[in-house]
Amino acid sequence: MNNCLFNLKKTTFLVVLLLCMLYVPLHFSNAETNQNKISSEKNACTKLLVELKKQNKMLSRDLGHIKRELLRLKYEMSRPGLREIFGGIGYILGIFGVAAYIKARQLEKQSNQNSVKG
Amino acid sequence: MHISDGVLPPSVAITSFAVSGAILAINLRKLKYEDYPKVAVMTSAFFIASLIHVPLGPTSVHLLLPGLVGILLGSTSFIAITLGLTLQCFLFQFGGITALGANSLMMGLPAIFCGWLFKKIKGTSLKQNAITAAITGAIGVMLAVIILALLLYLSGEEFWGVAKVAVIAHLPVAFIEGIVSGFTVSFLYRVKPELLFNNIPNGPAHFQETCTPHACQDQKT
Repeated sequence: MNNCLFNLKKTTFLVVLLLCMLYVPLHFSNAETNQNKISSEKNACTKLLVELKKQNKMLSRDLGHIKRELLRLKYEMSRPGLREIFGGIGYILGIFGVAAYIKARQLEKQSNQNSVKG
Repeated sequence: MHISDGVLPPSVAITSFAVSGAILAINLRKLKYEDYPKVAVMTSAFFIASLIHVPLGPTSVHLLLPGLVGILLGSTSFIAITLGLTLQCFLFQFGGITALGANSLMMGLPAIFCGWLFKKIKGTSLKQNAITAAITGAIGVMLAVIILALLLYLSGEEFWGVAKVAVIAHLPVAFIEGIVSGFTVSFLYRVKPELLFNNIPNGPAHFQETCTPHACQDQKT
């Protein structure tokens, strides 16, 4: 009976010891995987950051292009274009054409009156 | 070289409107039927000239052409300049609407003076005509600058300060204008002298030879 008890104790002790021994490497391996996880996450984050920075730079460059283009367009819009130039010449010729027409009608009337009188 | 809105006080603006309106009315009555096309063409030329920018160092200047318009149109140049300035004001936003009278005085009076001066001192040879036109063109710009300074003086600026700055800024314009006027007149003298000499008998020698009054009458009939 005593022997049996002793055996039981021994086996429990052995089991506990085994469990302990199992726990240590398990624990450490767990920690290692955790660390690995963190470092890989860190890596991913830095990669993402670099990518984001790159994209930001590209976007700001593109925005600069667009802004410059807008300014150029604004400047071009403020300058008189072909439409204004030809429109102005058309106005001038039109005004003088109408004036000449009116004057010609007056002259014709006068000459008609003169011929009637004559 | 265009006065903008708000630079001149109302009194100066209204007075200049009245004066330029009076000169315009007188010249409209004087305008002959035969001159309509000539005035129209010169109005177009004056209207466009301010768009021709000549690069000069860091900046660029543009032609004004009061001298040339005056040479070719005489006193009726005021009509051409007023109409040209009005259209420039509405289409190109050069100068303000309230300053239109002042602007037309500033350009029109030198043009009338230049026309008179050119008639007085032009010779009959090509060289004389070209040189006279060049000098008259330059004088036209300078006169315009002086009238500008006078108008600004009337609106409360110091005359000599404004005049000095404006004259120095427009010296290159006057120089270029002189060259342009000289070349234009020498070209017209050779190609179409009747634009410069209204009555042909007093025209250039070679023109008299080819087209004596008698021959011209024959051609007309």
